[in-house]
Amino acid sequence: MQTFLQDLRFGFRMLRRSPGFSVLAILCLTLGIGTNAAVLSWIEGILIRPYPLVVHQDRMFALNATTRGENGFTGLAYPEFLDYEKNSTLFESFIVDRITGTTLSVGDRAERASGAIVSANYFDALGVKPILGRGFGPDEGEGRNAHPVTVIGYRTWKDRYGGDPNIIGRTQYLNGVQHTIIGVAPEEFHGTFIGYSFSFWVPVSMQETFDTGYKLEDRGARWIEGYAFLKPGVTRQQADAELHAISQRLEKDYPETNRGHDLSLSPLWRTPFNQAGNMTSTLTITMAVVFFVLLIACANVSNLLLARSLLRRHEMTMRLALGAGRRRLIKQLFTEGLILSLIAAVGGIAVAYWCRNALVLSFPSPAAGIVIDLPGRIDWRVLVASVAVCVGATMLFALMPAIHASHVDLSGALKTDGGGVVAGSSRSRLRSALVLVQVALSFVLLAGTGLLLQSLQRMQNTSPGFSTDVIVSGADLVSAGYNLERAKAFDTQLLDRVREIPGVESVTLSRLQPFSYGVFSTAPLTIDGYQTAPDEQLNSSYLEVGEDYFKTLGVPIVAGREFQRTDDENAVPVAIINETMAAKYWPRKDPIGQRLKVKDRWLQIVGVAKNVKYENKLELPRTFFYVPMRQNFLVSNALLIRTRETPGAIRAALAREVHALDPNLAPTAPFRVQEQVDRKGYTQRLAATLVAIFGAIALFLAGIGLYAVMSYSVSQSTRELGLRMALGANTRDLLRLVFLHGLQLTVAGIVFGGIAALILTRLMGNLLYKVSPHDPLAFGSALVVITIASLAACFLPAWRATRIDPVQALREQ
Amino acid sequence: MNSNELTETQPTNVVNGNGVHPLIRLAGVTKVFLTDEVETHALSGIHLDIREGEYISIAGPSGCGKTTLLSILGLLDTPSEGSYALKGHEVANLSFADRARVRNREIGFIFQSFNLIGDLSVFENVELPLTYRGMSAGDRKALVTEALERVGMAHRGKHLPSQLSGGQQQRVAVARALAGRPAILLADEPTGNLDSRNGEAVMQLLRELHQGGATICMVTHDERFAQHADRTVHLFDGQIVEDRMAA
Repeated sequence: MQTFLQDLRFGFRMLRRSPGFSVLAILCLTLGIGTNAAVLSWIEGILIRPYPLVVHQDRMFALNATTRGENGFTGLAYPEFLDYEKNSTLFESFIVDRITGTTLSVGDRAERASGAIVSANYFDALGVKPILGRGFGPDEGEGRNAHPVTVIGYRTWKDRYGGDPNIIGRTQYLNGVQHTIIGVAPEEFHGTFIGYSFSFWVPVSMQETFDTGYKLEDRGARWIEGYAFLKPGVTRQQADAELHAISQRLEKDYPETNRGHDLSLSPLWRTPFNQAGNMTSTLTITMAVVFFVLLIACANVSNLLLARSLLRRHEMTMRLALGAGRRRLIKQLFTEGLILSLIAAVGGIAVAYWCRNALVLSFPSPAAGIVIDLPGRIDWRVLVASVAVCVGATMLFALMPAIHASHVDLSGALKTDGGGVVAGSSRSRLRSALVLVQVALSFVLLAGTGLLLQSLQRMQNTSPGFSTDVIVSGADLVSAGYNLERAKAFDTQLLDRVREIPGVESVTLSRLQPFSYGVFSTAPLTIDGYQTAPDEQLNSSYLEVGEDYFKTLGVPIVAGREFQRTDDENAVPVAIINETMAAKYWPRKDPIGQRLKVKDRWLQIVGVAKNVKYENKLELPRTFFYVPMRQNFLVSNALLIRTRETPGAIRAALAREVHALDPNLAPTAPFRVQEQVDRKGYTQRLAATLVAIFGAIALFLAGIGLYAVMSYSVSQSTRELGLRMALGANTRDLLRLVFLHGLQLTVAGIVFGGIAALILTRLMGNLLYKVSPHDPLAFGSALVVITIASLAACFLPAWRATRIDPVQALREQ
Repeated sequence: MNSNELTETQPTNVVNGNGVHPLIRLAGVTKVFLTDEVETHALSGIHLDIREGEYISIAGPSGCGKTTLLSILGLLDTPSEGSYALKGHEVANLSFADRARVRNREIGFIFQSFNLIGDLSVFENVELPLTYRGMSAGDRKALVTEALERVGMAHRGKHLPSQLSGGQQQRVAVARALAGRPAILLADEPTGNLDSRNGEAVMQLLRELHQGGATICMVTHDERFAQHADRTVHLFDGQIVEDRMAA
């Protein structure tokens, strides 16, 4: 212990004695450890333990409902959810948590607010106690629209109600229905939907108020998202087996709706219905990137320590001569390294703390009032992991120089230097290898950045299949208390009026805007004449749209016709299917005139529309169909306008027309569909941004590393350079010598980096869009950037080499 | 003056060792070093002629200016005052690049500490000054082989300097100085890092080279080695105090 304290004291003294070295080493390590701590805090706060106030998060799993033959999460029907809850024995509780939205009036303006429809046991199961009032009682989950009560979020309580301590019992209109506020959630509780901070929660009995139609008794309507808590000691495998057994019983009992359905558990970081999936791949890549940054930082510091160990050769020799063992020397040098990395770890954690909410900056809010919540979390686990990173880094950067320095040739070193050989390479081989590693890692990061940037650009340049210049607006009729008939009359008149606004080419209605965060309607299907396989459950998403929808959005009708105004409740129910659906169910037939049954109603197919992207640009082609709005009218619709005007220019005209119909209504702020398309591409943009930032840091560190090595190499080769000058080398020869040395290291690093990049970039496949992981442009750009950076790093040492005084240099022994 | 004139055409006024014009002529050369406002006169009014084929030693106690004089002779340094004519051409005020060119073609250096480059083989070390001339590989090989043979190190061409003894390393250094067929060999304490046996061997080698026609200027503080030269110039406090021919 005394020895350790002595080493610590000496280590601090050494740091003070060479402030330039200390600052540079600590800066490099702070960047390396800080970026790792920041990403660890994001992974902890967003993926591993996203709900800080929820007890037993380790036993909390997302419900992952699937249907055979369909990709991804398909949701649960409420009766089905109750069946699982009732029939399972290994679970402590099940909760419903379905994201929803409403419009809250704030002073004289309206703002969107996100919230959740939850089961009555929600707060009790999570172990979250409201700071005012109470959570929902068991009876409040039952009955159709029977319990208009709400628990509001802390931020809403503070911002909207000024933190009124007497808030309980006051009322708030949510989707046109007066709700009584029964509780205020704690400040740190933002709901259980990764990515969003909710403003309110309502019990499941109020589903109809926030959704399309009453679904609590409908086994075909799969809208439930939720979680389950396992009993202590139960494994996920056991729980999955029980859920699977229940699924099979339900399939037998309800073959019409439950054929092929199954339910399993997903860890929170793979929750299928929130931002976890997107964030997982982005943060995994980011973690790999910052690990590379750490390796580069360690290589830099290792190089600095190696250089310093040569300067301290005499000290090491004396220590050995005075009886210190090699292990003792290694321990001393390791302690010095540990001091560096501990200081850097403190700096790194400060960086992580400062960056903990940085992800929100690159995640656009979908609408005013919607609060995005992607907090990093620095708890004891992040601290332990950061310390582990710090110790690991010390092992990486300090051990090699320590071993190197401890291997002094005692007899040789104590003799006066009378050698006639100038600067052999053996000393610099290790340092060069470290630079090579840095260049290789930087190349991998730059190639990855190039791929992501190209992918982002291609994604932005690729058409989703519809016109993104279309303007979205509308009026919040639900909050204004409109019923179906009144809404229908309002929307019909509004369409007629907007059509007359100068510059408007066409206008239509749609339940959801393109690339909406909302959820498409889904229903089990029956296809007339289509023979289903024994375990096949036909299901498809669909959208309710107005006449001129395809014309307005510029989606070609490849067969049949577009919806018309006459496709109303008095006409034959009709549908327009997409190309994928036509090919799947009517492969060798003309689908026009064929029928499909949805919710006990036969629809006649009148058109086939070209495939488009429905939710994001990365999705694969899938079956999809459209039904006419006038046969499936809803109160809440988006107004889509095709016009030559800008959203700003049309705003006043829109407001005039809406006011003309209802002076109490205002249109929502118009924006182009492109804005929403951009928002949906945030994951790729976030990944590209993060990798570009960390790639730039890596390049900077590698540049410093190369500069340090070249600079050190020049300073150690003063005699050789002086000799070359004496032998007739001119400025050009010396510049060439230094640049060639630097470029040799760079080229070797690029070769290794290229091989590593070819292997590693394949892991980015799911983040890339229409770009090969081995894209030559990305690799070529990385090569050019790293070569330029290397030349820049070599320039100063090379220039310094030409300034050497040969007489002075040759005098140095 | 263009250094090409010096290296590519032979001035007519240098005929041979007994010619009227010397190979090197220093006239009133002074070298002053300024450090912290203190002037140090390393050389004061040096007048020195070295004729082609001459073997001259510059002797004197430590700090008398021997190495400074050698640096000026080797165009590694420039005089503060005075003129320096090499082969009849003034070279004291050449540009950096021209001095490098003249140094490369006209002067061969032999250092006390050999100064071989550890990363290069014996062959490559000897070849090094030739690479700065833009000479073809074939020509370089011929000259290097010839130089190594002259110093008896041809069989060690592929070895690294660290694999040689001190005496052998100095022989390689001599071969490097010879390879480019310079006008003069400048040797700075060439035996300083060698034991007496190897020192004698190197002196014998220089003697043989001189007998073969080489012009040699050697700096030494050791009177015994100074006597190997035909002429000895004694320096003291930066001035020539004695210039005598061997008996």
